[in-house]
Amino acid sequence: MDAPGGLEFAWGHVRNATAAFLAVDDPSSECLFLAAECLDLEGLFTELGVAPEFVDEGLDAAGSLSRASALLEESRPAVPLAVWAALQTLRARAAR
Amino acid sequence: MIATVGSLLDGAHARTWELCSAPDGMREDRAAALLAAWPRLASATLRALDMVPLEPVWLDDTASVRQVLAEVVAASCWSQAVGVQQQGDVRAPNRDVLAIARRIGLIADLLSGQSAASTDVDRAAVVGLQANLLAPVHAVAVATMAALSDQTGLQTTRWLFRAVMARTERYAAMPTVERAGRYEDVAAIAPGEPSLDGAIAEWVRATVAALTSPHRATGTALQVAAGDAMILTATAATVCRAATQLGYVDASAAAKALAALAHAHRAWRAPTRWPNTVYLDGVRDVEQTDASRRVRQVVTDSLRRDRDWLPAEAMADRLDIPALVATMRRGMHAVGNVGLAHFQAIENLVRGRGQLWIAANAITQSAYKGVGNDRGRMPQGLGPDAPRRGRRHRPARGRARSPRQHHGRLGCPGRHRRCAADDRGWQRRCSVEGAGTGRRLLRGGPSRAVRDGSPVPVGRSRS
Repeated sequence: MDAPGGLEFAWGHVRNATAAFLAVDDPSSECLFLAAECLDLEGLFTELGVAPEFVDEGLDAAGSLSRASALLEESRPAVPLAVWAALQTLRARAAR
Repeated sequence: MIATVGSLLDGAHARTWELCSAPDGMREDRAAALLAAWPRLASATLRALDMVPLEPVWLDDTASVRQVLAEVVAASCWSQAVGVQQQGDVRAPNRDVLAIARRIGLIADLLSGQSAASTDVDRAAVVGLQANLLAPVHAVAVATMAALSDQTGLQTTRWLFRAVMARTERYAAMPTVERAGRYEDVAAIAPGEPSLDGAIAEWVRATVAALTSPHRATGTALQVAAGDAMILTATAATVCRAATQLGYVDASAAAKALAALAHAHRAWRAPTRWPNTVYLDGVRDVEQTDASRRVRQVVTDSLRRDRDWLPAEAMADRLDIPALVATMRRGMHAVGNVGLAHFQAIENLVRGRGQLWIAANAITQSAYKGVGNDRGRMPQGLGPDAPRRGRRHRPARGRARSPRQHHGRLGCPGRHRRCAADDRGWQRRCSVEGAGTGRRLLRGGPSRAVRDGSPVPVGRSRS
């Protein structure tokens, strides 16, 4: 079943995740690479003709991505595979 | 190995050194060969000198040198005056001088895309470059004068080369350290080349193109550019540390470079964090995305392992460290160019035709001079104090806010404390909606925005 505004809110969570990754100042720069991947993912969202919904920041980056994933899962028919695959790859990389 | 202005200059200087070391300094045929090669050397040098103009132009004191080199090009008939050729023997140009001229010509080609040197750093670099270009010219002039000796009928030629010697001498006497500058890092890199240099070259081209386009300079594009710049800055710092550790870079110079890189890295963090409450729409630039991914991939493949940077020793096993340092120097110039494009894109958004913000003191309605706004403490440094304060300012449902009202609801970066969009700019680019959610939309499309499938006239809002 399509969740109303699922894509928009998922994008909002991805934006929060981007901001969270960028806030981390780690010497390995891994968070920078993760943030860059988040931005790639945001780029894919821009192709979908939706606008991001403002979502209160309250989750960490991994939590935001999980929430975005759950929202996309609920809106599965409307979610292009490219977005889904990119998000899952990103989550996997962030969880490592 | 990628040819750079620096490596070509090294080659030209080495060849000049050999030319001057040749034992047959005063033979007549040598004079003829040298004279035959001079027009090419002079024209190549003139071309290279012209490639990076100094601004303001009166700071350029090479006019006398250019004048005498132009004379050399124009007076290319001297070789006929040399005795050997008077007998009908066409003397081949000296190969060493031709090789020097060829390298200087290549340098001119490499420098052809450079903009005028208008900053202090660039001016100093241009002076160094001029010295590096004119030093071989001076040395060849000295060698030519020696070869000409006291041959009869060549007084005019000797006077000309005496002038070349005199006017280029001070450049040739300049200490090597004063000649170094950023132009030496300009390299013959083809965008798309399978190397870090090639990836960075393509990234600069695509990113600058995206940021200078009115439709493709989206919030995400600006963030991606800033994020990539941060990654490249971190990469440069890592390479610099490794090169220092391995003894390729002087520790004190590295300390200065690392301090500058750390500062740049910190400074890029703010533009990477585009405010959540502001959305700048537009056309996604696929080329920028591809170029960005490629840079990250090449950096990861060559310099990272297990989610961290390679240790210095492992880096040295894989790569030529001095070449990598040169690549990162060029990379930082590239980041500088992207930084300029980024700044101009933001400047254009803020103050250009589609002006998004106005000065704080232009806000006249006291209702919008709230404590939150005046403190300039907006989420992530930009945007309204949404959603909490957004609720407080929300107008009655269904009532359209005037652009002036919207202005009071937009924050701005710290130094403006509070600003908003002017009416024209607002109508062109922006749509503010969703006060309840605190969301603001700034759209780069035509003069209306689309939301929930229905067009919303810009300059009005729905709550």
